Amino acid sequence: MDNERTWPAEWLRGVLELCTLGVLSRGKTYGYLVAQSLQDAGLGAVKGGTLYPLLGRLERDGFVSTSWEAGDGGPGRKYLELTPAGYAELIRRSAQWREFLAGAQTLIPPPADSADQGRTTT
Amino acid sequence: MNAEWQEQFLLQLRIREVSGSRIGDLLAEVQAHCADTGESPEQAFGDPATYAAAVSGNRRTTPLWRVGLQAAVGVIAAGGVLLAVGGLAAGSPAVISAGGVAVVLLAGVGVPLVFRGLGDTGPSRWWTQVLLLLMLGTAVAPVLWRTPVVSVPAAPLLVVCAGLLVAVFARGHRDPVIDPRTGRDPLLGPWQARLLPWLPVVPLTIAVTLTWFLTRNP
Repeated sequence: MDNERTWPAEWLRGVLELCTLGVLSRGKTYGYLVAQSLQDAGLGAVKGGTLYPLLGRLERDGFVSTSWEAGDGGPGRKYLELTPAGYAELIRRSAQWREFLAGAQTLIPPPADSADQGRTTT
Repeated sequence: MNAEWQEQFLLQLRIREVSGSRIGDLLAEVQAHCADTGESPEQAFGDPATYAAAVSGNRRTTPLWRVGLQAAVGVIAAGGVLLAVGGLAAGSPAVISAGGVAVVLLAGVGVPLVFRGLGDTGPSRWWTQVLLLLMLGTAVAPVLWRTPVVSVPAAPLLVVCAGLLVAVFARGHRDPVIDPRTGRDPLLGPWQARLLPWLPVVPLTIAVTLTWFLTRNP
């Protein structure tokens, strides 16, 4: 997947929190690795100024628990872990998102090739 | 890492009344992230005031009138101590001048405006610097405008104002910034962190000493 690709900012805003919950559901991690995972998934580079306020909100809402732990020779890192309430929230929002996406997809035209084929065969 | 960015960020969080432990947590987050990515704080987090507003929810619980009152009380306490010391040295009552009253009123009005301006994230911050300079300039008002307003016995004034000063001073020391990784101040060395809270004492001690020697009767 093209990791450098940029998407409309409002798309990212809509899905970033859900995707972050998804990353956190894979296990204990820290901010930089969350940003890396989001980028590896093709969402583009998420700056610290966007990511950390979001992580702070998830912590405040009880979806994430945090702990400072010593790093490998470097400064300590703030590790993040999804709480049971966070898992429940992820499942709830995932179901909502899939429903939303299914509705949106009924309105989005198919890729150009399929559309052309459709026109020629009818 | 950019110390100026971190100091600005800390100031902006203080203005928004974020707790010392939370400030330490947020600063440590910035430092750890920048160490991992190799980015500067500006690159990763943008403008310190805007980022502080984003992580603090732009909250400020103390109303501006109370900020003004606290500033006025601080000026009354410090100014009262100086006047009382001058009175005791000269063997006369302390005379409160029109210039002194003007400084108290200006502090009460100007400090909340500066406080609000420093917390702004837009281009209006420039006028805050101008206002701050003007306020520092008005510190000479008691020297230039000496019209007496009221005379007060020096010894009671010293007791009251010294008590106020201690109360104001103690109030500012309740919530230190602590790095969760080290249990220490994240920006200052151990000695700096210990000495910094005493910084306001130095100019005040110098001013009290000068007042004593300049006004005492031979």
